[in-house]
Amino acid sequence: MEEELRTVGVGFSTADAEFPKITKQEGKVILKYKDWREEDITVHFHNVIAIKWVYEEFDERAGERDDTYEVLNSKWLKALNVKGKRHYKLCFNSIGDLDVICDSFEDKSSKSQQSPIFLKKPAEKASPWRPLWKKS
Amino acid sequence: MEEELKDLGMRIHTSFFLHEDPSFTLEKGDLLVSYLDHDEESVTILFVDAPVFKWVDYSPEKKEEPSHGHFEVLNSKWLEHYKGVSEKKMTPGDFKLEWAKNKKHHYKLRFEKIGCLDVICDSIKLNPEELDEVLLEEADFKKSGTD
Repeated sequence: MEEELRTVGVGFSTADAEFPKITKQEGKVILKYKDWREEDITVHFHNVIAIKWVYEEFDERAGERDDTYEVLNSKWLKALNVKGKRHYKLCFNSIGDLDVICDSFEDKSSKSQQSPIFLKKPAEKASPWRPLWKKS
Repeated sequence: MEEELKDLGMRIHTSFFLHEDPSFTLEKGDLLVSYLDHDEESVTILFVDAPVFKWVDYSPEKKEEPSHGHFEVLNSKWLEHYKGVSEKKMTPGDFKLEWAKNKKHHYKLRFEKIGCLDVICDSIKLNPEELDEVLLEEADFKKSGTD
């Protein structure tokens, strides 16, 4: 069966965000970044068994995506041969993709209850001359 | 050409008797890995300019023999794959700059029955001095907090 991306309804946006900070400690992954409104976003992933980060210019996907997905019929999940886990993919359009195999995740941002999703998407930014993940 | 694992020869332990699981942080393109080894020695490894990394917990279901060590993967298929992808996506100038003199490497850290970390990056630094200072400060802070 082919892999499919199913959009997950979340209370945060990954569109036009700053470069995220990703931390893994024991089985937990903590994702932190400022979204396009300059608001701090914190997401916790629980019981993580695998994680992958790929910068956009190294990612084979066509076009840019800026949403949170569950990967259905995940090849990676199948290759890991584990049951009861889910494969989530968070796409930070011009920055990169974060793939996490875990039980669940939750939005820990302080305004998570009040943040409507994708109220307004900002205009596309011009591509920088150097990759964004490079430090100036 | 077949892939080969070249031992990095660093004097660090990644064996089963780790005092704690490794933790890692990706920030501004650099990946920092830290843990206490079986002698409770603090180990920090900095992967400089890492556009790709992958961590997978060890799983007995995978039927792979657990092993430990720190390697560079020579003739890496993973590296070749991402080089091919980036060639299609980057401008010729950026691609040339990014891959000049084959500066990207594929490193692999195996932590026996804990997991395995694969990283593509420019270089690797063991216990960078400036990081040691930060960790020492953190350790002092924690110690003073528990007294």
